Amino acid sequence: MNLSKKIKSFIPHQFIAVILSKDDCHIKIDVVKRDKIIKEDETTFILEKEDSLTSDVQEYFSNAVKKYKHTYISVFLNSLGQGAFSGCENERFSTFNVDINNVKKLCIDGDWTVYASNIDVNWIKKLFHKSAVDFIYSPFVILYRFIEEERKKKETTLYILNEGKILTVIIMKENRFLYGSSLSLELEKDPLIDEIDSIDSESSDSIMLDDLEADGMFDDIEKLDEISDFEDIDNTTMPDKADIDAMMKEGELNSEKFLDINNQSKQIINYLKSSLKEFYESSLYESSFVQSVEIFEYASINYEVVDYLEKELLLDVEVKKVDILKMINELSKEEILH
Amino acid sequence: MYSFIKPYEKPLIGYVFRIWFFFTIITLIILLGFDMILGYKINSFEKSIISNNKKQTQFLVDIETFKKKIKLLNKEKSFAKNVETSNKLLEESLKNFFELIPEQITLNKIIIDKNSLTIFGITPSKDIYNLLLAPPLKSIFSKSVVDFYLQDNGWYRFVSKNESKIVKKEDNN
Repeated sequence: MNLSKKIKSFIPHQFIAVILSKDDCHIKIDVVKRDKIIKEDETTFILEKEDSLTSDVQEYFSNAVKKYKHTYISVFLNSLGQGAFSGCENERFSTFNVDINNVKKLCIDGDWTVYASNIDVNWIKKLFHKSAVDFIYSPFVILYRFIEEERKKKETTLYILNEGKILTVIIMKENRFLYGSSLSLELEKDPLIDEIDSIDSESSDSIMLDDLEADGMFDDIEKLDEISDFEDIDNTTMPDKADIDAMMKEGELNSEKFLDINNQSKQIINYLKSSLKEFYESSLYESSFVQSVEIFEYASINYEVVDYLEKELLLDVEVKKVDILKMINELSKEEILH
Repeated sequence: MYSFIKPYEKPLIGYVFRIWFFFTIITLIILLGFDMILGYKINSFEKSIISNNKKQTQFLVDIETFKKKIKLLNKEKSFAKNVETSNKLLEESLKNFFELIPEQITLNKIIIDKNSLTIFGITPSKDIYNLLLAPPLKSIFSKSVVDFYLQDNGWYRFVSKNESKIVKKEDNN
């Protein structure tokens, strides 16, 4: 550790990790002094508009920056314009059809490359222009760090990081990076959803009943029944039309969410299938047989995916909860203080 | 480096601190300068003290030599004074002596010794000598002996030997 880093350890440093999702913004603040976290804070803001920071988020950042002179803001890059491949040579970019002039690249451990389009990186910078961004981390790097923290598996393993907006996949054999790709969990819309939506508009009542059943709404109604058993039925007021409308709307939203989850599982399964197919069939990748899967969950993955991997693909699956925000701050701390 | 971008420079020291630091450094430089000047001065003073001490010892030695010289000179001076006094006395006594000589008596030669006076001269008669010269000589010297030698012209050549009392005593001793 050089002198300036030694001096730095005596000054409080604030590390802010940010994950911008479609609807919300997750923030974790760590204030570090002498290698110890002296203050921690975690908060989530609901975003009114996609891809823009609301005034309260900006105010939160500017207040945080005002408090500590040495504040470092790190952002998780969850846009689609990024990727990873084995090898660090410039020629590899053309092999994988990546225009080297339009991307920011990083060579990891001299073994593999992560890249992100200049547009995405600049967009993040522009988004945070009022409180300048210091670090932008690729999900591949974050996933790689989670893998590194784990006991390394000897067999070829498929590692998955689910952040909620982006699903990142890395295939590694021992310490060697073989394959990497990512999937945006927001863009694709399953045709099934559209089909259901059309049915929903045609006969909303029947669907509503199904939805209520699915989301446990009947339980709530049963509870209401129980209450009526104990009290005089004359004294109870029946729900008016507005209440019923509200209940119906809630059920509708829940059903949409439920379908979303189902749809997302299918999307993930299809994606994993195509990824494995690409890995096995493409001559770009070193051939190796994937024997196990390790899923790092920031946003939880539906059991259907795990079920599919275990039963259909006959792979050993391990699921682990991880905190991406914590890992982002860890990386920033390493960069600044170590 | 795992990030796509580099963090913004966040200087360890702020603007105010920089100014403070700048002036502190300047003050330190001035103080160090003063310290160096003072150190140099002290050093040169120490050197001059040492050389002056050497000079002082030298002067003390010189003083001793001079004192010895003064002593010697004083001795010489007193000796010279003695000589001068004795010369003066001699001159006086000679003057007095010549005044004593009567006109009739002619002196041919006188031998003045430290404690004795021998006079060679010519007198017309013994009486003139005995009357005019013998009494003052006798009063001055403790012993006065005269021998007369008759000359062809009837005058007397005389040799008067006079010795002082002290000398006599000394001689006796």
